[in-house]
Amino acid sequence: MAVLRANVLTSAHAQVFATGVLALASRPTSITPNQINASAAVQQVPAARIEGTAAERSRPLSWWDLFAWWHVLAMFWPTPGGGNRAHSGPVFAPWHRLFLRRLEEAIQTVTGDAQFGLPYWDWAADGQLAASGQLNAPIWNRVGPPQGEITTGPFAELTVRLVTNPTDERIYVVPERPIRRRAGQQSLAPALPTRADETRTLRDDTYDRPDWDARTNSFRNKLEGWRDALNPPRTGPRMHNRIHVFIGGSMGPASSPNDPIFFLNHCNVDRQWEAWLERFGRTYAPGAGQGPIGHRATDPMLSIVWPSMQPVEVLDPASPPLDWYSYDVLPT
Amino acid sequence: MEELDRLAEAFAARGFEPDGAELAHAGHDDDHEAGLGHGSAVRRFEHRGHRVEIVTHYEVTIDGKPWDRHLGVLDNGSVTYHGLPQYAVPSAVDLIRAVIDYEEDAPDDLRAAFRAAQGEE
Repeated sequence: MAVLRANVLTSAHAQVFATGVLALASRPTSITPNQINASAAVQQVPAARIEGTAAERSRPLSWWDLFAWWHVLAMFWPTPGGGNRAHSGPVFAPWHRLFLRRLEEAIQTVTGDAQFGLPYWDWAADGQLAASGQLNAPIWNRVGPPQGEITTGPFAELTVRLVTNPTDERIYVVPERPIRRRAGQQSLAPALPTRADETRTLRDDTYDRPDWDARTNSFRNKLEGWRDALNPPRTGPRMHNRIHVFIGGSMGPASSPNDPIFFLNHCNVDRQWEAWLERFGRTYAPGAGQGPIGHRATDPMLSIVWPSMQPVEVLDPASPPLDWYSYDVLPT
Repeated sequence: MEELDRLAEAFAARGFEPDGAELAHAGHDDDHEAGLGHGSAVRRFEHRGHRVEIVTHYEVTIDGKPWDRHLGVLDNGSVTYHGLPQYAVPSAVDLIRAVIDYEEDAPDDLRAAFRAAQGEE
């Protein structure tokens, strides 16, 4: 039975989301950084090696940490054309759909709430506010303050251990520490995307096209935020990318799933993709035999712990055989 | 929770091998072309029947020390960097400023943890 995903401001599951995140963060796995570092995957992708003191590397990671490392591994696993196994190419939307669904299932498990559906943050609504008003928007009551170390609000007790250092691009395991934000303090993205940005992005009827990268003119590339939907284009990150840069702090580097708002952002991005699929048909490009390896319709998407799936297998989340979820409202 | 524990045990039993890893050796980063150097970004396109290749090479020092990370360039000239993966900024100057901002704004305990890890290498 598909669950309902709703706006975090009205969702009956907003509190379950917080409870689930904290449960996953306080629940150790049996997996240590040392074990991961000895794996064949890290031999193939050395950038995914977890640095840290010997003491930290021998302590088990939490389930929340594991989601952060999964994202890092995919991001540091290069694909032809300059992209990677989760970004800067067609697989961006389906890979994050799979990633979010696994978190949704994990929260259902740890909370015992089989009806739990991930909430989304309709950031284009807040983008209609003046920049100063965006820092007082109701979203921050749901996720904690927009700036500083997050030691108040629903995630006051959340601590993380895997942190990517932007200076050297390496991921470190560190003693437990809170997440942090610097929303609105980045000159490159001082304000959120607007409803007009969203509407313009959703007008592009081509999911993706050659060269299937961060330079191409396609719906996926506008949604991911490398290309502005406005012509002539403005400088700076747009749409999804802009949310990461706008919030900054823990949302900046590859370990960005440390911040629960990562999932609210991506749930909204998935909702926007779902609106596109409803409007233009449940299709995906590139097909088998086209485009960069790792992004094609029947390539297995990179997955740890849970089984992989193909992009073409996740195009209809509300219907059998998936029966995963639907959204309360889709953008137009 | 037993369901999650079983998943972790199964992941360990297969040597922490991700699903989809069989594509591992198929990919490479076109911007890290052999012979072009770690700091080179390549843009290729065709225009009116002409094949064009633009190679942009960066040499960055911070406080006199080489900073050898790879910078990419989009067609519109925006500069990208994997360490801040969602940034596409007007110039390398903006990007290096952002990297330094992250370093300077990092809490003391986090910087100490990075140093402790690097000290054991």
